[in-house]
Amino acid sequence: MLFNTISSRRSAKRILVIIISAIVLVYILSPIYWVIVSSFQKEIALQDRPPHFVPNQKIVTLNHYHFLFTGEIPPDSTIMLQSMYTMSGTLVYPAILNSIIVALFVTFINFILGFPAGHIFARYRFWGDKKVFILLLATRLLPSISIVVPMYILLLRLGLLDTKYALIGIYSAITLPFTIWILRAYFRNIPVEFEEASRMDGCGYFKMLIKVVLPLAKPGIIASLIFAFMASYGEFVFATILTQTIRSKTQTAVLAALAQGLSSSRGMIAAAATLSFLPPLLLAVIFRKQILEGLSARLKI
Amino acid sequence: MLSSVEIKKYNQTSVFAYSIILPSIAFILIFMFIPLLYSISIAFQEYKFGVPTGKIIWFRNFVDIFIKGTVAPGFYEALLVTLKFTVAAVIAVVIISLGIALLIKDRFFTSNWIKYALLLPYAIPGVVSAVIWSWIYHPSFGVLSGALYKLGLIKEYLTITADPNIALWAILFAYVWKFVPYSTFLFSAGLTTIPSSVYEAAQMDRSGPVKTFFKITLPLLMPLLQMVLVMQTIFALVMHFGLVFVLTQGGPGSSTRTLAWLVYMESFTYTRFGRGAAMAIILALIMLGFIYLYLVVLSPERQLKRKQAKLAKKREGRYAFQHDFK
Repeated sequence: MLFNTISSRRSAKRILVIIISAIVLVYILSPIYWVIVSSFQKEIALQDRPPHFVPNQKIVTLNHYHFLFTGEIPPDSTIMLQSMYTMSGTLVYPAILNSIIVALFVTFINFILGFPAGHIFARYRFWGDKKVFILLLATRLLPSISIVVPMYILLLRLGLLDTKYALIGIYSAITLPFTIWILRAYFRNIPVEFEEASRMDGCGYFKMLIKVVLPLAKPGIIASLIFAFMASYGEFVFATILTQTIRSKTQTAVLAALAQGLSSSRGMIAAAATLSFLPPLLLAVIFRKQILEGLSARLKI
Repeated sequence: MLSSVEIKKYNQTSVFAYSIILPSIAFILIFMFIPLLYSISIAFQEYKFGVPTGKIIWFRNFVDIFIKGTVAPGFYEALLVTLKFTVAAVIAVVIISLGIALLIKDRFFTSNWIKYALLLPYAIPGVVSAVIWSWIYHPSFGVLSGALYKLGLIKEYLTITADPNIALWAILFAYVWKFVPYSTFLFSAGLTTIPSSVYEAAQMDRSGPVKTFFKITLPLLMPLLQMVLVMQTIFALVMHFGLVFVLTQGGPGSSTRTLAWLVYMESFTYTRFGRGAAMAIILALIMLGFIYLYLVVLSPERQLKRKQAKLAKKREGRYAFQHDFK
C-alpha cells in the first residue's frame, strides 16, 4: 500500500537514484582520494592495519614531496625506512617536466597542422578526400604495441633512441588523426557564411583561419588540443620502450619503474603518482565544459 | 556533367587542399605506415639475440607461433586470457557506462557531480591509474584489504594481484574504472539526441521502464552502441598493457599474460624481434576481425536485410503451398 501513491513511488525512485549515485561516486573518487591522502601520511602510519582512512595531525607529513623535489631523505625515518627512499624517486620531477615539454610540443604541432587540416576536410571537396580521411582514421586502429618493435629498431639505427624528438614525432602522428576528426565535426557545425564573406573581402586562407574560424570554433579547438595534450602526456608503451635515460624519460616510464620496486616507500610512490596526474587533472578541471562538449560531439565518418 | 571550368576549379582546390594537409599526412606516413611496413618485413626475418641474421624466413615466425604455441611463453594460453579479458571488459564497460548514462540522463542534483567526477579518471593517465590501483591492491598495506578488514569481512589481508584466480579480474576492475568515463560521455550525448516526445508516447502507452529501454532507447542508440563496441574492443585488446606492466607483469604464472604483454616479452625480454613482430601482426588481425564482426556481421542493415529475406522466403513458401493446393 505504501508505494501505491504516485508521490511515494517517485520519492522511492529518488532515494534509489541517490543510493546508486553515491555508489558510483565512491567507486570513481575513492582511489583518487586514497592516493592523495596516502601521499601526505608518514611511512610508518601507512603500514598500520587497518589504514588511516582519514588522516589526523599526528601522521600528516610533507616529507614525501620534499624528498621527490630535493632528494633529502626524511630525517625522522629509521635505517630500515631510509632504504625505502630509492633515488629514482628524484627522477619524478624532471620526468614530469619532460612529459609536459613533449606534450606541449605535440599540442603545438596539433594546432598548426591539425587545425588547418581539419578545416580542409570540413569545407572542401577534392581528389580522394573521403579515402584519405578514412585512411587517417584507420591509423587509430593500429595497436601501438605492434609498431613499437619496428620503431625501436628504426630509431636505434638512426641514433634517435632516447630522444624527445622521437616521442614528439610519434605522439603527433598518434594524436593528429583524432584532432582532425574532432575539428572536422566541429567546423561543420559552424556556419560557413562568415568564412565566405571574409574570402570575398580578399582575406587570405590562413588569415581567415586565424581571424574568423579560430574565434568561432574556440571551444572545439581547445577541447581537441587538450585531448592531444592528455594523450601524449599519459602515453606509456612508446615512452617506456623508446626512452632510456632521464634525457627523454617521461613521467609514465619513471612512475611505472618506481612502482615496480616492491620495497620502496609507498608514501613516496603515492606522492609521485599525485604529482604525475596533477597537470592533466588541473586541465580537466579548468576546461571541464569544453572537454565535456568535445567528448559529446557526434563524430561521423 | 561538370563543365571544364568546374573541373579546373576542382583541380585547383585539390592542389590547394593537399598543400595544407600534406604535413599532417607526412607525419602519419613517417611514424605509422613506415613502421607498419617495416614490422611486416621484421616478421619475415630471423632474429637472434636482438640482431637480424639476415635470413628471410617468410612465414616461419608465424608457423612457430601457431605450432609451438603451447610451449612457454604460451601463445594459445595468452590468446585465451586476452579473449577472456576483452569480452569481459567490453561487456562490463558498456553495461556500466550505459547504466551511468541513464542514471544521469534525468537532470538530478547528482547528475553534474557524477559528470565532473567522471572527468577525473578520464584525465588521469593510464599508468598513473595503474600505480594508484597497485597501491590499493597492495598485499600488506592495501586499502581494499584494509577496508574489508575494518568491516570485519576478512581476517587476513588479501593477496589480490598474486592470486592467479583473481589477478585478471583485479586488472579488469581497475581497467573499468579508467575506461568507463569515456563511453559514459558518448552514451550520455547519444541519449540527449533521442527526442523526449518518444518517451512521452511510451508513457502514454503505459510502457514500463524495462520495456521502454529495450524497445525504444536501445534500438535508437544502436549506431552509437556499435561505435562504442568497436572502440572499447580496440582499447581492451591493447590498453591494459600499462595495468599488466605495473600490477602483475603477466603473472602470477601466466594468468594475466595477454597477447599485448606477450609481444612485449618476445621482443624485449627474449629479444626475438621477428616473432614479436609476427605476434603483433596477429594481434592487429584479431582486432580487425572484431571490427569486421561489429561493423559488417552485426550491422543493423544486414540484420534487417536478413529478416526481410527470411520473410520473403516464408511468403514464397506460403504462395507455393497455396498454389499446390489449387
